Amino acid sequence: MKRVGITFLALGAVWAAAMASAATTVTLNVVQIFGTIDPAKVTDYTGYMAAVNLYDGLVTVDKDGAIQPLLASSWEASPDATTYTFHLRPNATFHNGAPVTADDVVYSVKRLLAIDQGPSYLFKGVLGPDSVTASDAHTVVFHLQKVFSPFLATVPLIFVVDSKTVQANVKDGDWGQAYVADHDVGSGPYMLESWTRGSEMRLKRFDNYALGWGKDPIDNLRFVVTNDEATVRSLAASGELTMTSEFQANETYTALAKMSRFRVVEQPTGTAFYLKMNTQVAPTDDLHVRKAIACATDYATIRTTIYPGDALAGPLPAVFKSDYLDTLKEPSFDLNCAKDELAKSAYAGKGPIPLTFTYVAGASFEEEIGLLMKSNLEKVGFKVSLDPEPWNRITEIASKVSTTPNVTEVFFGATYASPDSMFFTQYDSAASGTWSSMEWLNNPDVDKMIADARATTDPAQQAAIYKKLQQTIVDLQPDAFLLVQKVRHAMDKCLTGYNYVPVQSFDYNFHNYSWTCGN
Amino acid sequence: MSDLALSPSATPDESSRHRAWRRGWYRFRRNPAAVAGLVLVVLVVVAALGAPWLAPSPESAGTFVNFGERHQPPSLHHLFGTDNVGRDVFSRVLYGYRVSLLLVVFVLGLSVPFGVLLGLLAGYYGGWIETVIMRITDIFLAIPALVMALAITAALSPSLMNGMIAISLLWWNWHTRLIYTTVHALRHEEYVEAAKIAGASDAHILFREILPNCISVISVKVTLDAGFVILIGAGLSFLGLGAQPPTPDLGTMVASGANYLPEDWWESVLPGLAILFAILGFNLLGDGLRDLLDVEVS
Repeated sequence: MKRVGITFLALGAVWAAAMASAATTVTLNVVQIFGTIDPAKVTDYTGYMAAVNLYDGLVTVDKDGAIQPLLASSWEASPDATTYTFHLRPNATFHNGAPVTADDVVYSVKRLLAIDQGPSYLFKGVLGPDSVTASDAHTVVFHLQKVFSPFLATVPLIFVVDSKTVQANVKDGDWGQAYVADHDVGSGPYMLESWTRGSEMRLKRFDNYALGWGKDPIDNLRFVVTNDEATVRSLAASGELTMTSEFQANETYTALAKMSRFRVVEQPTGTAFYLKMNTQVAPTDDLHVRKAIACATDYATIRTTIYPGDALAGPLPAVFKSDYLDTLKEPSFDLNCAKDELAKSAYAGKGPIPLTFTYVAGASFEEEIGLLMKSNLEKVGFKVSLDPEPWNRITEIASKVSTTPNVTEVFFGATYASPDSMFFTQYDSAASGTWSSMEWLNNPDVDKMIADARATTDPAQQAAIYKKLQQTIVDLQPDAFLLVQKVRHAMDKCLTGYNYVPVQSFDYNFHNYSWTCGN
Repeated sequence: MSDLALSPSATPDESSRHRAWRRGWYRFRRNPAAVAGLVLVVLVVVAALGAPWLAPSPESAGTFVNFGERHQPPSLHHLFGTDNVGRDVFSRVLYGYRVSLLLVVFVLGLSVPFGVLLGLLAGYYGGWIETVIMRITDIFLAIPALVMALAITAALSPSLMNGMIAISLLWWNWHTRLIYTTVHALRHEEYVEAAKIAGASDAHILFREILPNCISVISVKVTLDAGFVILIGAGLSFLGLGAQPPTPDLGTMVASGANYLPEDWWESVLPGLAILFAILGFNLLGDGLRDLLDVEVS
């Protein structure tokens, strides 16, 4: 009987699809390869683009950074903020039709902690393997080991996997890593259709998605991997491309804006662009050298000509309104200041100071910034070697102090909607060894302030700590603070619903988009 | 040059040598393609050597940026326009020829003597020496040069030096093969036998009797090779595995300029034409030389 029902449902879907004539396909380019789609291993922007479409968390984040229900329709916290109870939506199913239960959530958390990659570092000392329990089929309880004030903001990163399918595919106690690496075991709005590593990924719409579908949904997604500007423009000209990445050169946006089909959408973001300086190796281990580099940075040219953005005064973008220290001075370009600082450093007077400078190979605006920096830095007494590297190589060299370059151009956006994400992930010594912490700051004062902010639940007290922390970091100058990114996409005028979301690439959740030109 | 016209078995007197040279030059002149090649090559060499004096903006070859003048189309002030950071493309092309010729000199300077030596040994001695050398050569010949160069530069870190080393490692085998074939044919020539009977050492026979008779083949091959070395070097740089920014390398310029096609075409098309120019020059010259020397050798 049930099977008949499903058959009818399927027939209905086919009929509906036929009535709606051609399915809508959105083709967009991404500039980096999808490293992994395993939600327990995803760390970067591109990985989350896939994860957020394939998987659902208990909750998610909207454009204002507020927590919204997803698999959990409601939740409550205990007064001491150590116990969180989530109530699951009863109708949610995985792509294979199995219902999403509390056991799946418990398994997903255990798996995340056991694999110990991706966002698991956030839960060190907060969640243990037995911290999460299922009190009934649709109720999950998280018992935190200590107060962790940004906890709710991190929950959207816990994606729920189908525990039965994963368990059936475990090999040698690998928690199904080999299987989940290229199979989708989620309940998200889209399903994996095909994936050619390094060139493209196709997803198709999951009809029975728990949140349902509005009018004119996007049926198929096609991510094309290329950072070549000419390819993007020719894909756009041929009518194939629906939406560009947000990392194109100025010239590409201008060219696409001239095609009548496209509009350029621009929104402020919580993503900052840094020159991350390795504070543990010569010569950037010297504070004066770092200050000299910051002074020799031509912020205005970078922000207006090379890569449009807003000014950034410290480690935290201004979108975190209540925690933002607004007394910080905007950095300015001053070669005399750079010379003075360099003269004070331990490396002064020994001839040109060698400096390694790395950026993502093939990203033309990053190369332009590199050339601009080299030109100015060599005027004040550095000898700069520009080393463009592919992104996967950068993530690799970032894992060791000795291989981390003196200076690296890195974008970092909040992984979860809390200033803690900006501070902990980039500056805490417990989070070092990744591309987001190439400063290797390892400063006990900084670590302590981050921990203190995590342990308080009083927003005012938290804001006070964060403000002091911003000043401390600015004084240590582990970065030159280039700009706050303005997200820009050239997209087809028919594609609507885009909104910047201040968490990773959650703005790529295509459940929120629609195709408004009809068929 | 005059050595090229040596007839194989005798030391000719000055006048016959001179006559042969003049006859060759006459033939060469009557081949318009060859003359065009020579002109192109001379232009490229002059551009490369004279870059510091000829370039309107020599600083464009170094760590210079001028964001106020980016993407300017060709004009009297900037003959080839400016690139994405405001550097003068014409000046960078002139300096780019320096990098290209440096590559040619380095690669051929290393690989030709090495390849020729192996070819001489294999062709002259035969036996197991021939077997070992020629089988190794065959193995190297079976590997596509660009693919291997990509692998080598990717494994070492990408730089102009590593690019040059990678190409050198792949270039000797063609010369070995060519010289082996030539020597194989020459080793039973009468003058070689005569030298042997006269008690000449192997070294003498190889380097004083046989090698001079390979010079014409080598010089044609080297001229033709120069174009290909430039091309493969440009290919490596285009893929980001050769010279690193801001080195003015023609391949790198084409690659970064291609980002701004079709609007700012001059940033990639003109350096691309510059590559074409150089390769065409070397190839036409090589062909002309071959026609010329074939006559003299036979």
